[in-house]
Amino acid sequence: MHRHILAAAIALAATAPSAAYAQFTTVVSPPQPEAPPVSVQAQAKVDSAERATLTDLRTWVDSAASASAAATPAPSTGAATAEMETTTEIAAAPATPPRKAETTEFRDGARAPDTATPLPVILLAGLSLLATGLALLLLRPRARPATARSRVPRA
Amino acid sequence: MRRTLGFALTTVGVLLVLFVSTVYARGALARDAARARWDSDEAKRAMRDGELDVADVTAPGAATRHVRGSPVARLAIASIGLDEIVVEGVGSSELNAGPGHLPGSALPGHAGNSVISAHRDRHFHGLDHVAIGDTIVTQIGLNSVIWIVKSRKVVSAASPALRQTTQPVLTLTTCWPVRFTGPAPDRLLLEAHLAESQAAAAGPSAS
Repeated sequence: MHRHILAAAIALAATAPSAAYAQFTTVVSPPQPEAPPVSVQAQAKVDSAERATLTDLRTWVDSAASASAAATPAPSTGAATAEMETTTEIAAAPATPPRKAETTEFRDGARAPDTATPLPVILLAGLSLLATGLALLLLRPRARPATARSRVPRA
Repeated sequence: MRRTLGFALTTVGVLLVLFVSTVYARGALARDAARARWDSDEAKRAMRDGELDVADVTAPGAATRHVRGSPVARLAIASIGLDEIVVEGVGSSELNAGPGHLPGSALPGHAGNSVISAHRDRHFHGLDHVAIGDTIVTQIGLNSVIWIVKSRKVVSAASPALRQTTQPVLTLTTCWPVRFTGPAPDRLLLEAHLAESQAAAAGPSAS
């Protein structure tokens, strides 16, 4: 019994890594970057050292701190933040042309009230459709004149 | 196929004609209702005539706000045989009932510009025949006002054509061209100036 279990454990140990590895066969590992030559590495170290060289460290720290404080927004409440977001949304919204308001109240410089009406057009269209429909229903198509072939008696 | 198409066209045509007829019929009913209400108000005024001072009714600025759709004045133009009850408001339902008085503008005869508008296919269908020099009569309560047409102009619908005035002016507007297929793009404006004002129990002489 123990032998069977041991054999099964050995078989699992032998096959499990290959099976687990098979799960990741689709991953394409990126190519390893080639190490730059030694001369380039040395030049990079020199450049970094030169950039990091500061003559007055205290002044640099103070200026960096003030710059950081100016860039950080002041602590605000949730409402203020929401308001700011809303404002941003309004500003970002595309400008839509103002809708033509109808004149319903008199004011100096107002347009004349909108008295345009589509009713005559609708009536005209309705009457036209009605006449066409009735013509289609009542007028029968002309019978085709009998051709010479149809008049020839069949043999 | 021919019968089906004919039946479909006839049905749609009948529906469209019925729709327009319904709108016109409702307008005619509303017009009759406005006239009946106007006559009723006139009768009440006649009964109160002995008790009420005429100046109280016709004083400028008195009761310039009315309920939308309620009759506010009577308008008569003898040259085109027009005699209509003007209702308050220029919405679709008001203009369907009769010429509409633009809210906020002066009442006819009061100081300021009084604007009255109507559809070209109904109450103001003959407005294009009104010429400069023709007389217009308005009546509010017991006060009849006679106007003389002084100018006649056509402006685009978007044009800011209405102006406030200090003197009593009557402006009638409708769509232009009067005979036009589709919503008319322009507006016809008739401007009339005061000829005379008189307090009388009788209606407009033009009717």
